[in-house]
Amino acid sequence: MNAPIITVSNLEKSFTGPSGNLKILDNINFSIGERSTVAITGVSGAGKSTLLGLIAGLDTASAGEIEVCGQALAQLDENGRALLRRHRMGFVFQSFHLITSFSALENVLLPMELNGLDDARRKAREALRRVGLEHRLDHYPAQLSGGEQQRVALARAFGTTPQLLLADEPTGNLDKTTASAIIELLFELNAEHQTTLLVVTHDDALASRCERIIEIDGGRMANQGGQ
Amino acid sequence: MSNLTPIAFRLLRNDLLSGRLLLIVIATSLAVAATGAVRLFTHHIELTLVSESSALLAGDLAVNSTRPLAQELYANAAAAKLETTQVIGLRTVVAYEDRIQMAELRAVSESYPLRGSVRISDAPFAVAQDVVHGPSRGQVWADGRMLQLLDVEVGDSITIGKTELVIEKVLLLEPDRGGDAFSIAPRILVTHFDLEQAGLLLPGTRASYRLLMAGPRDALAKFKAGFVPAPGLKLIDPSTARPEIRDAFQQAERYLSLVAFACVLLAVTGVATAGLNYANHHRNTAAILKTIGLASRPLLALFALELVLLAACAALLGNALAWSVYRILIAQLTAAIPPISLIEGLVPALEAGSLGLIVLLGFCLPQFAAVAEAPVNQKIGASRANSFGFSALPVAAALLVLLLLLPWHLEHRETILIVLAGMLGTAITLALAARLTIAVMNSARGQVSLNWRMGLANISRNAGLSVLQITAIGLGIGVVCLIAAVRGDLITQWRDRLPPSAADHFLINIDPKDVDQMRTFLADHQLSDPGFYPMIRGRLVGINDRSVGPDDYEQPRARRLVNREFNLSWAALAKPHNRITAGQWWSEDAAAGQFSVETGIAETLGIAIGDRLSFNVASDQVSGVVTNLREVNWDDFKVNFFVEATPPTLRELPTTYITAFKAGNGNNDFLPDLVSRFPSVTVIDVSAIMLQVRSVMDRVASALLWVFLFALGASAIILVTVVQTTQKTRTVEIALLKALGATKDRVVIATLCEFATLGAIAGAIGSLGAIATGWWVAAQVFSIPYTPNVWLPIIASAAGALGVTGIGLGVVRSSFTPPVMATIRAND
Repeated sequence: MNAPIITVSNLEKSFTGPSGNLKILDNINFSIGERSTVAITGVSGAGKSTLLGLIAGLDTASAGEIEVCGQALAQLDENGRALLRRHRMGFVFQSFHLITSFSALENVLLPMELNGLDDARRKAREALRRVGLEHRLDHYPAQLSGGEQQRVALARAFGTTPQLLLADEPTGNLDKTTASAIIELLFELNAEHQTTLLVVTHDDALASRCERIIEIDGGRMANQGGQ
Repeated sequence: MSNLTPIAFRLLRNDLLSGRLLLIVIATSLAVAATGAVRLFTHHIELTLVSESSALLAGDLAVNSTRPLAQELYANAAAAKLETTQVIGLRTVVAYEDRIQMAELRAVSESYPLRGSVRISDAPFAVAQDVVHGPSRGQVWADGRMLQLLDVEVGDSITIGKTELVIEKVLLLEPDRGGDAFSIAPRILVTHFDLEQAGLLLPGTRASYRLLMAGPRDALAKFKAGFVPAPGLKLIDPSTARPEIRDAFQQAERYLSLVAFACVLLAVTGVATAGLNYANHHRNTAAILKTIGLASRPLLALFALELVLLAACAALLGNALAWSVYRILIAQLTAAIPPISLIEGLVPALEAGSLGLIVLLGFCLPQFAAVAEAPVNQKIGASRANSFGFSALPVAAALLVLLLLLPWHLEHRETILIVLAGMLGTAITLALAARLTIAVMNSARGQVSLNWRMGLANISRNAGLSVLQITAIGLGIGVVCLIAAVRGDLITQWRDRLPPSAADHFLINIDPKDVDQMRTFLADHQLSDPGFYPMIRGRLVGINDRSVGPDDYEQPRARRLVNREFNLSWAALAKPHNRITAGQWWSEDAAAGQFSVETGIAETLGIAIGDRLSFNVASDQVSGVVTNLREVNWDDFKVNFFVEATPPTLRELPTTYITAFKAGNGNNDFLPDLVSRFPSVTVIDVSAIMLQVRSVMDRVASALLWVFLFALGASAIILVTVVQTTQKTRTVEIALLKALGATKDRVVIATLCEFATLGAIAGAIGSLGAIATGWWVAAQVFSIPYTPNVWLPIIASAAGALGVTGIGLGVVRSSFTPPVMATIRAND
């Protein structure tokens, strides 16, 4: 395994609900090496997305440690974690989550500008050309199909050449054919950018493309294996 | 319908519990509360004003008569369970030793005054006290001038007709004296018993009779309804009793009506905004219900039923809020008027509740109709997309709703129509300008920094919604600017009428040879050099070739005017506080034989430019042609004359001088000295009248301030409602931006840019609409000069940017903190 880019040790996440303390994740331990591709699988409510959110620094752990790109998340404040995401991570969501008031180009431009990249507009156009949407630059999300929106989301995620790409059910809202095309594109881009890919999915086809699968069941790691 | 009712209840209950109805409930309740509270408060202010006016009439209602009051009037008043008292006024001669003086005598009973109080003092220029009764038998309260003219003191006995009465007090002011401080004869107050003892009231005596009445509103209304007008008989309402403050009352009432309607407009804007959101929430429900077999019509009926239930909830909530606000507001007023009872409040509550229903149905039903009619496949899943925008149906419905609201304000139809037209014009301008601005922003987005781009993109996220937001906020700011500007102009006008520097003492009968000494005397007492004006007593005896007498006129005022001498003057220059309304003022070296006549007296006596007037002055007759008419404001306590002439016309005739100055509170110690040094001079003290007028004006101004603040509060709440419309979308996008690495500061700054832009645009355009409407309202409704503040658009723009940013950030602050992943996944 390459040097680890993500290390999760003794991770716990619990919430206090109406029926008392509810443990969502319990004793999670794993490492992910640079440039590897990993799928997190499990049934609905297993805690997959919670785990992804914790790794992204969008939520804080109840116990345990997470280290991403050499930085312990617990030692970073909210702004520090935002900067880590901005410089090192890319995100792809199930419902694409493009900003509806931004055109395709502006959506891709957004993280580049947040990063202060030079020549961002040209790079954004290039990213969209790479996903086959050079003819849709000024289209707004509502004017794009689901597959096209997810391609814009991929262009946005890879546009800043992140070290780590986090994807949450990227094919969940797509039909089988479009999903296959998106999976293909995701792995092509991943290979081109030498990115570490961590994907939460129910899609066996997508999971099977990853080098390693971590299965979560009832908040615990049920199995982790390589291909 | 019956099988829809449980579904409607269930829909409403679930929507209420889920919080989805919060916005529409707040907005509709606010519409009800604003209308209810303003109507309750307006009603209370009207009662306060009537009470103030009653105090100035000495009763709640009066009947004036030139003949003894018929027993029938007393019977009618008694039948209506009204308290009554009679005041008889006549002119008579008062004597002390060998000196005699004409007096305006008023005979009152023990129950006088029924409202207000009589101001008296123990000696001339001594400390005043207010009492709620008249003099006792055998005693007389006399004007300070009377004491001066007869050279008597308190405690001396004076002869009135066949009786002798002891001067007990100095009479400073009766509540119903009015602005008539310049009665030629000083006033005295006696009892009816003493008037009878004096034997002055003989058949044919020219006297005035006034029946004063007081009692509950319904009793007064009953008497008024049964009153039959007859020649020489006049019903005096408190609102018409005092012309010098009647205008202020009427203007205040119109202003309250303006604010009431403005609040309705604000609330309607809020309901319109929230209604769009509400209808949008129902897209999925509509689709599902249609899928399981509900046709469009029953579906619409179901939604209508839900709206009616919602309106009932809002009516309860809004009226409770209205009642609380009303009680808080009246606690701020010092006027001792008890709050309106709950029973009396029922009518405004029902009105406000019905208004809530009309507004809700008017604004939401067309939206629901569109939702109910749309094909199912356009609805499922569509609720997530923003689908706001203007269409002909809601706009037409909005106009219809506003027209339906008119009957609530019929008494001030002109005000409402002007405000409605002005604000509709403003709304259209706002909508067009907002569309244009959004188009310009879209094209300029590439040239601005990321923070601004994110902010501007939020504005153009949904052009229809942003147009609606800008229009709503702009209307809110416009309405606030309008009522602030009109209130400012009204108060300025009232203050200008009675500025702090206005004279409160007049000196008349100044011998021409004493003028210089008097000037020096006043200067020695730190009184600025007041003008000295010549004054000549004359009686109008002819107009053109005909002689005139009281019998030539029907109007009592006209008969009075030709029956007595009035003050003439001469001047080379027109007085700056007079306005020439017809003809031209003469040149400084004009020849004899020209008159300038005050417009009111000209109208009363039928005098026009070019008429030849003849006056008897002492034993001479003076004639001249009317060359101009002058408008005089008699309420401003400045020296004015009914008729002025060119200097050569009157200069050689026996003349005295008049002057006026402001002594100020407690600065009248020199007056006894003045009277002893210039015994021929008569002092007229109008400070008590001025204090009375100022006190009323101050209370009215204070009431207007509270009403304005209420409207301001209402507009702030509307703003909250408008901003909350985008809350859900905003929360998701903020979560997304954070996921992409945007720091909280950056997100806050982008939001700030968005709100500042919205507020600045809305403020600038809204204030321009307010200036145009304000000018229209000032000219047509209030008849006041309107001075638009050229800085208003800039001030309103800055205030709009600050206000919307402040309130907006306050409202959306919860969007900055929710867990990012949960927020995003909840919207997957």
